[in-house]
Amino acid sequence: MFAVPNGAKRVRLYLGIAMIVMVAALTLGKTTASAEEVVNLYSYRQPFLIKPILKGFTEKTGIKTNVVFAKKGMLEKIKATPGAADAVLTVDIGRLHDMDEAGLLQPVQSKVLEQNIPSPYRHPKGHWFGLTLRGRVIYASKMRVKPGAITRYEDLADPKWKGKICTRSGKHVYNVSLFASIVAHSGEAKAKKWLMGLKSNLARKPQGNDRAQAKAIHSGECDLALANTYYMAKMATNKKKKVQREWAKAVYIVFPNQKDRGTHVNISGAAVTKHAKNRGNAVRLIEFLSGEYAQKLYADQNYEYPLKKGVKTHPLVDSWGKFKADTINLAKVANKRATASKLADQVDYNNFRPSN
Amino acid sequence: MNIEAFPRRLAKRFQLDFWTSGTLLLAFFIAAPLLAVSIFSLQPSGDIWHHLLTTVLSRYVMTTMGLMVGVGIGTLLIGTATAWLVTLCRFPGRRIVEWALLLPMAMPTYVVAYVYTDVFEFAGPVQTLSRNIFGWESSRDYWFPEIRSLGGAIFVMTLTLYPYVYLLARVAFVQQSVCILEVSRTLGKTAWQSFISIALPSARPSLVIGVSLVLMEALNDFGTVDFFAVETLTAGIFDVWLNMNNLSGAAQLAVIALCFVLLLLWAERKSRTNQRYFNTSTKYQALPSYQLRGIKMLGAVLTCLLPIGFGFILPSSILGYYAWNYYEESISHDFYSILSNSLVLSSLSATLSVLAGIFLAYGVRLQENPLLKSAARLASVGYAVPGAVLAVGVLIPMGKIDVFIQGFLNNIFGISTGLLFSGTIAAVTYGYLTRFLALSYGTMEASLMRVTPNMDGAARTLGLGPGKTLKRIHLPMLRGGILAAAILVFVDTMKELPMTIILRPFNFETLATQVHQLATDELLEESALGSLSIVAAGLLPVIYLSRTIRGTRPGAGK
Amino acid sequence: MAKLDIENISHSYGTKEVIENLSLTVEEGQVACLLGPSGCGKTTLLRLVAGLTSLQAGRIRLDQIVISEPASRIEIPPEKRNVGFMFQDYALFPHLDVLHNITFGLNNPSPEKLAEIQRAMIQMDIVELTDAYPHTLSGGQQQRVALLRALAPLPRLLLLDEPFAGLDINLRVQVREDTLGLIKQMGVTTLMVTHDPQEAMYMADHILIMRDGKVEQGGSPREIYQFPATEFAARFVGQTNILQGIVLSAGYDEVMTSIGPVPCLSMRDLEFGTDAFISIRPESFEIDPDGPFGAKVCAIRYVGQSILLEVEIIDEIGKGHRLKMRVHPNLRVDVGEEIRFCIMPDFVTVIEDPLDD
Repeated sequence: MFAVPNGAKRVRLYLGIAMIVMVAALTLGKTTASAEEVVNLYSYRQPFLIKPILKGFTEKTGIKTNVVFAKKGMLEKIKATPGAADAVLTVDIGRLHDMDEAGLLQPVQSKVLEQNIPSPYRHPKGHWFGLTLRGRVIYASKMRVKPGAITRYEDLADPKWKGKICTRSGKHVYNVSLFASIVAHSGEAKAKKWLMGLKSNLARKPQGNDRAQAKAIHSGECDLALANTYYMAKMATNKKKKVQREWAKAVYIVFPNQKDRGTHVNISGAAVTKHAKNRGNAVRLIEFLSGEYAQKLYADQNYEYPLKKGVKTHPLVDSWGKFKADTINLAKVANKRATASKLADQVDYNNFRPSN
Repeated sequence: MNIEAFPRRLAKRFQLDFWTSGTLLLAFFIAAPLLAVSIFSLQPSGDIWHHLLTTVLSRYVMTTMGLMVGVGIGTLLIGTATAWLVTLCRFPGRRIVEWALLLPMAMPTYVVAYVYTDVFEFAGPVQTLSRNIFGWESSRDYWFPEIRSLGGAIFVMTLTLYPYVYLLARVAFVQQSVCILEVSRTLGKTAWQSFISIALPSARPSLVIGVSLVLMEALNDFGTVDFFAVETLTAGIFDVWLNMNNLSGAAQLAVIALCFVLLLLWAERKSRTNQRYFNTSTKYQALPSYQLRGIKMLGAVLTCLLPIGFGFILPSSILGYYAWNYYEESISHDFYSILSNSLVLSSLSATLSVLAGIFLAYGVRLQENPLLKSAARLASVGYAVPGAVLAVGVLIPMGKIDVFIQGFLNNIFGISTGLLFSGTIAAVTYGYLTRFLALSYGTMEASLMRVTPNMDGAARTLGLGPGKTLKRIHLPMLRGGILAAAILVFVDTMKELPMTIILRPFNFETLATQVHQLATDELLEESALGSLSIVAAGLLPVIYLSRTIRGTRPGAGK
Repeated sequence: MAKLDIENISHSYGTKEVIENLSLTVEEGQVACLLGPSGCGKTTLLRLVAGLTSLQAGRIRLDQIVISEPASRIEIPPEKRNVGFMFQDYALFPHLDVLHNITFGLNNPSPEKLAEIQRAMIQMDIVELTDAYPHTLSGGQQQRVALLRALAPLPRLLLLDEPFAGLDINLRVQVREDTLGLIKQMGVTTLMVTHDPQEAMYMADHILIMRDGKVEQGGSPREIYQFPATEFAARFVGQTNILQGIVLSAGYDEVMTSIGPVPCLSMRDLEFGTDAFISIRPESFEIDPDGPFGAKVCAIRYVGQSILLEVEIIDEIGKGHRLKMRVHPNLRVDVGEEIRFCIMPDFVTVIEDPLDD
């Protein structure tokens, strides 16, 4: 009855628990500092897509890979923690270009890479390397768009498509990249006019992702859409989701501008960071990624176009036919991204309203 | 006590004592990433402002205001109304909705956004069904509210954020002295008038803290507005940063958004400078309760059920359906290690945030010094900054310290340590602290405000120093508030995405990052199990929290 | 037990000065009472003594040891002062039961100490509440718990802030008696503040009348009542009649007022012929058919132990003066009746000129 309140004891208990949790937590995240061979990766690509490839790499070379996946703030992270990552993997030229501009990458001379990767798709001094290609194509409705009715990106601005086109946000990297390629080819003024035309043809406010555009064509909301090639394959081969197979069935792929400059392509790529601590391992990894084994996996699992000559694309991808890709230096396109993004603001692309 | 043993001490107002310097240091430590962001914003940003001003800025601002006003009003109405009903009225199911009303808090807003889009968009079941029934063919044949819109964003955010207001309003109502309500009744006011003129104003500090948390959350959100293509300032920040590769421009926008919040908070505080709210009476009768019948009862039940239904039951059922159907695809071999990562990280974050929140709130209370107050407040506005931007702010000081330590150890001892902080979960934990301090500090401040300073005086004159007073008086008295703060931070950390992604170490996944990976690859169904796990992990604490609130009524037993 | 010296202290909140160059002393074992209207800085003074508010200027000593003196940067924190404080709202800790509230200030109390506390609880009639929580107690019980809590660590000085303000009249008398009994029994030096003169008179060995941050007058209850120094002091501790006049002669101890010469016990060393104000307590009047003064009764209030009369007396130039007088309860008198009376000098004193303020 005359006991001192037990508050003090309890506080000590809580503090003790907190300490234990803290120590446990710190050890959880700590990368093993042992002497084994490692390569540390920052990846814009989801781990579950590259995990099988990295597994193959570790099996073949004995080099362990540590990965962290992120989209935003990667550049700043590399800058703030020099040496933490040895290599970066991206799904877009834009990021590689930005990092290069920021001086975060280092040149790599590698016979293997020069042999595997065609020159338009790697940095002249080896600051970055493309690994696969993805085309930004037009999805057209099988029911409502006759083959040949649309052949060029420029046609998307034709008033005959008024109320018939769907796209995702004009600010999404994939669209910004496409717009930038138009700026690079036709100049800012023409590109702006084109973008205005495209906007006025929209069926709805830009929204959703690439699959959602196929979904919209399927449901009759629109006839044409902009999307990446591999999504088509992913939908068509989706075992579990019947609806997605149906979306894919409603759509066929148009490779634009085959008679002139070619279809806009983007690369997924890799680069070695300037302060890489495991430079050799990083180069070996990129070489591995450009090699037969990895390229085949990219092609089969993610339905991308492998850059190494002789590696076959997935049969489904093959069935869309060969296409001519735009060979403009991707760095030039990447340079125009800020302009393209501003154009989207100027024409108020994302603010489309059906009543307009 | 031996009189001669009095130490010759410096007067506290002439020196920085432990609490003052501690409060300042801690506030600075927590605010450092914010300061880093502010420093970015001082760098030149090219012609970005001309571009923004002539094109989209006005829309960003208008949309942001629209979002904040909508979500603010929505959460205030739902949160206050339900809290009042649950606290002071009797109706069937009250005991259940009392805790169930908190459940939507466990739902990540972006997940709810995904789910509702799936349900309400053109190709979704609701519209498809309507088209089949009415024979419409295309979207031009009928009008249906567009879920991917400002209205949709307000809807979704209100549903997932109102529990913050509910929680704080409920704590305030429960702890309110009945006397003042009864005084009001005897002065001829009806129950409703008493609510409006007495209960509401005296709960105001808590309501304001609740709503400002909601507004900050709405302001920093990117996942939802991005998915809904609603162009708020935050969307603009990311556009300028990533598409125009202009970090300083983005930081400037972020600082402006921040000023916006500070201005709002300042205006509110200014408007009640001279009001102080303590529990004046130490006498507490049982709370009165109005038995509701008929229409009123039905209204009360509906008012409570609708937010739960739309904020929790519906989305979690859909997630449950997906998770069930896609179980094999979703359950990865390391699911349990990911789950434990999430739990450990959230507990850690909750513990640290609460400790820091108590320290700051108490340090400010001890001194009543405007400088301290501003410092603590500055440290707690990180909540209003988009997570990814704040994460970059965290990276800078962390990286600097790491590089310094590494260089130092390497030069002196020849040891290569690797990056101690940015290579471990220290970085991400620090990030959470910066981001979630607002939750714990706000809750602690509100709770402390309701304790009369005479309690401090009594303990001090009975021989306890400030630290012991905190331990033996405030901590036990604030048990409810502390727990509430801890759970808020825990649940929010479970859901936190942008900072976790950027600041986590190699090979480190949490439930949120797992969900995010799948969702960004447009695999909503596969991500459902992860989302549900986040929700489930939040459930128990949330229910426990609700039980504790009932016990926080002063003198409500031991 | 200790002697408290407060020397020339000042305190302001922002630009508002609440205590202005105030000095006072409380002797060892004495119960001193600060009496003043609300808002005169009483509570601030207690908080300064306890160290809960930092002193801005002046010096406070406890048993000759300086506990607060900004000029020499001394500020003993409250927990080191060994000063007991009872707050107006009692500030009982809601999460602790009565016993733990009372023993809060003790470190590992010995069984003897606990037995002592138990005796005190029996004496204060709260021993059966040992396990009760504060919210279940009545106001009087809370007050007694708060008092015991403040006294338990045997403070060198006890500070009481309006200790009986929250209690109803009947209870107040009882609690007052119990409290004073305990304080005197323990012999603790006590400084209490109140706005209730009855309470102050009852409790205090020494009363300090406080006004606008200054001590207006200090003295024993008798001194204060019998010889108020100012009109404010006179009126604050009870009813009085203020008249203006001229000192007749130092020897005669009379002041010539408009209603005639009034005998006066304390002349404050005023010279013959100077202007003076006098305070005449209602107790100074004696009904006397042969008395020198005559007046008409205007109002009668029978309050049991006495009768309060209000009478009007017409002076030589025909101007009416109202006087309050207290007479024996057996007097039978009606409104409008003429009475004659004399004035006894014991409760008549010269006060400072109210216009000097």
